[in-house]
Amino acid sequence: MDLANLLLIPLIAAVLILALEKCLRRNHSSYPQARPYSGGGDLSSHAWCRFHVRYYPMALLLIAFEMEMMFMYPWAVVYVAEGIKALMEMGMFLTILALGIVYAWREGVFRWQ
Amino acid sequence: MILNELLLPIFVVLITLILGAGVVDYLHHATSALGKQMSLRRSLNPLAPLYRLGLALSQQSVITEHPDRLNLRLAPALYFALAALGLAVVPWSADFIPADLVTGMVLWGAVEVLATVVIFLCGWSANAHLPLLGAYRYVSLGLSYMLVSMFVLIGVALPAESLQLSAVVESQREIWNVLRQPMGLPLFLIVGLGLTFWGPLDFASSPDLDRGISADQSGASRLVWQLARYAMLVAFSFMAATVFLGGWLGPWLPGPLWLVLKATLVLLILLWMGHNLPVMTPDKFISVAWVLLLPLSFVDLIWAGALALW
Amino acid sequence: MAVSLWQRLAARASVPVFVASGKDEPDEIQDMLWQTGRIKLVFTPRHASLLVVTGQIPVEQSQSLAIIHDQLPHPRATLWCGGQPCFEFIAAKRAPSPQTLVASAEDLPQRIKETQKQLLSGKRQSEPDLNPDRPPAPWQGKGDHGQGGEGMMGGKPYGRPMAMMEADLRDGLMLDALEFSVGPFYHGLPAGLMASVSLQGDVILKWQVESPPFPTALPSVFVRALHQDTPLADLEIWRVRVHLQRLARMMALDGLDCAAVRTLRLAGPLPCITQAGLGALQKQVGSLEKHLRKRGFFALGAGIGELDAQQANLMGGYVGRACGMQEDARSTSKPYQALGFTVSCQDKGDVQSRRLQLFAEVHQAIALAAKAGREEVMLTHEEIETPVGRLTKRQAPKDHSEMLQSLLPGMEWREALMTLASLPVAGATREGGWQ
Repeated sequence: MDLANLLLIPLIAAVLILALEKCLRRNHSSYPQARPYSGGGDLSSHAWCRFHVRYYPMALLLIAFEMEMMFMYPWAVVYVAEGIKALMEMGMFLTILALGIVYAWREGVFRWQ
Repeated sequence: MILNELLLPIFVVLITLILGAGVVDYLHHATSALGKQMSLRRSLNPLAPLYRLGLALSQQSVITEHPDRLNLRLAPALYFALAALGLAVVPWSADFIPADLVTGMVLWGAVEVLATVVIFLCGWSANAHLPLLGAYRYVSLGLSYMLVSMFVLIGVALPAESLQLSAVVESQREIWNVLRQPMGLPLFLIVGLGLTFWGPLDFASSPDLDRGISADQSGASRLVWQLARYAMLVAFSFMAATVFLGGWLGPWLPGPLWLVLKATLVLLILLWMGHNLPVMTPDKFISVAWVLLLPLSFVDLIWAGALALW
Repeated sequence: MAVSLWQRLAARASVPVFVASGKDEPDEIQDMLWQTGRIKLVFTPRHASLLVVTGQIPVEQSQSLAIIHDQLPHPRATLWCGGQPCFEFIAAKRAPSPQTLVASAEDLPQRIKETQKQLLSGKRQSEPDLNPDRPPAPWQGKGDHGQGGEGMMGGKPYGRPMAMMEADLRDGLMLDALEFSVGPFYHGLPAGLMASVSLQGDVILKWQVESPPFPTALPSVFVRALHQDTPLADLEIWRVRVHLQRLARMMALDGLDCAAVRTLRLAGPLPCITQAGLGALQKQVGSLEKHLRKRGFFALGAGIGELDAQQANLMGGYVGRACGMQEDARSTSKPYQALGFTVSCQDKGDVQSRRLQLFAEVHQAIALAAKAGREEVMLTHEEIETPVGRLTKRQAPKDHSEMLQSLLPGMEWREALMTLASLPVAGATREGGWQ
């Protein structure tokens, strides 16, 4: 039953919003209306382009941490049972990661490149 | 049986989100009007959200040139669905839990991660310049707050010895997590601001982008996006109340009422922050998130770990 | 057609208004609407039902105004306050829409509410588009969905041409640079400023000014002091007012709407303030500053938009003093010396120090006004320090938008707009103000 709810709730929620928007909107937009807003200025190109992702080194660093989260979920469940050993292990793991952050910081990863 | 276990939970979750969104709208505008010292009678008018609803529905929804129509429609629907998914795992009382998942915390983590995708999609699909810039900025924010949230939530799971939210509530019978792990709630509130790009972390629809991802929305399409955003704020408030303020636990009143009261308190704090703190600059926030907030969340986790073994 | 339930509800909501400011119109009207109940100023025409045009729109900008007009969702209407409508020549060939002229700013809130009611009840037709309903870049593509053109760069499948590649300023990567022009009615920019910008990510590669901001009208009291004896207290009170209005706009750009409205409420009634009121004002400004300091309004600007000595010198006024220059026309005038005036300065030339400097000058000006008011000091001087720079008989404060072309490239969008809001970019006209 829990799983059924878990599937049904977001599904119904999404359908609800889609239906709501479909019934409520009146949206024939003429070309002058559809023009993207920029304060009245000219638009020489469409918006989609190869964007400069200025935080890409940060995004790479995040992947390393996200992998680490996979270990942390099961660790959290057995933590009290395992006791001080688990604390030491995770402490070591976090120390290494923290050193990584310090290094990345020094290299200027957390700036808008 | 079907009624109790299937229809009732679905009904409760959706109604909470929709009514909750109305309450968010009301409180947001009322507190803003009070902050601006507008006339009391008008700022506190309980029907004001209905008027705004009427206004949104009497307006045409403009669609930009050559948009990604599918994603333009899907983004608000998915954002709302994520809010519903997050709220579904929150226990209302000992025996009423819409979806009592053993890995409820992991699910909430997934909601936070997917929210980044959905918000980006909203700005991207309009094929317009300012929405795209807002979406682009939002991703940097989404990638920065995610880890803080995970560590804080793991810290909460330690004393409960479980990732199930009902167990997390049970573990707070003697003392709430907000006292046991004092750094947890403040850090988690920052995550909430990020998740709903609210107030100081409103990078996606900030004033300098003339409302960014919302800059080209109008009428009903703006309404559903706002609805989804408010709903996410509601879902977050319930989650924060559950993991830090003892959820439905409390004397005298029935459990669900306690939960609603506590969630409202969290909501009010978030709204206060929204009105009072300036929007941060995006590049500064990356540094703050990684160099200050993340180490703080480490400390929070170690603190929680040491205390759990005590 | 019967009025639907939604429209009846909508008639009771706050009216969303997009303001397009024109020439000779300091942002007074906008500031007034900000503080008015049941009217909501919005940042984009998409969220508005009414377009309010304040002041005169020059012919060059009327096409941009027409673009903004067409971007409002239906039902929509335009109100003109303090200037003549300029849509005739565009709409001449099409059905003329009713023009609503509002004679005085005091009537404006009332007229806004009435017009919205008429629109919603169907008594007034929604205004039709001014521009022709034609695709901006008509192009029939090849392939099943019209996706293909000639080679990689061909075609305009997304309505407009593709962005062209350009090397990035910070790391030299060759990527698409997003090119478009912003303004003259972009909410975050000074009114009238139009620039063609090129962005990579949200960092500005190029900022080419296409038209400078509309000059602001200097309060007449500053011009009067060049020629005849003027109460020194008046000068200082107007300085407080202009500075507070500038600070309020910075707060709004930071999302601090409540603080911004509080600031405007302090600034609005200043011209008729009494001696006793000055003491209270000093306290209120003090508590406002403390409120903002605690919430990081000043710290936010640290290290952003630093000017070098040459740029600060060019700008002069409070910008120069925020950069540590001891230059102030007031220090050469006898009445000011008699009041014990000393130049106050900050040391860094960034947004933070400009915000601090503005507050410091507000405090100083209130104190000077109180003292000068008690002693009834009068002043005529050939050089007047206005809130936006130095004014002499020959020269008004100049327009500095050219400087933006070298100042803004390399900045992140938000930082660029914060910098812009902290500088008096627009020149000043010498005529009397809005009053």
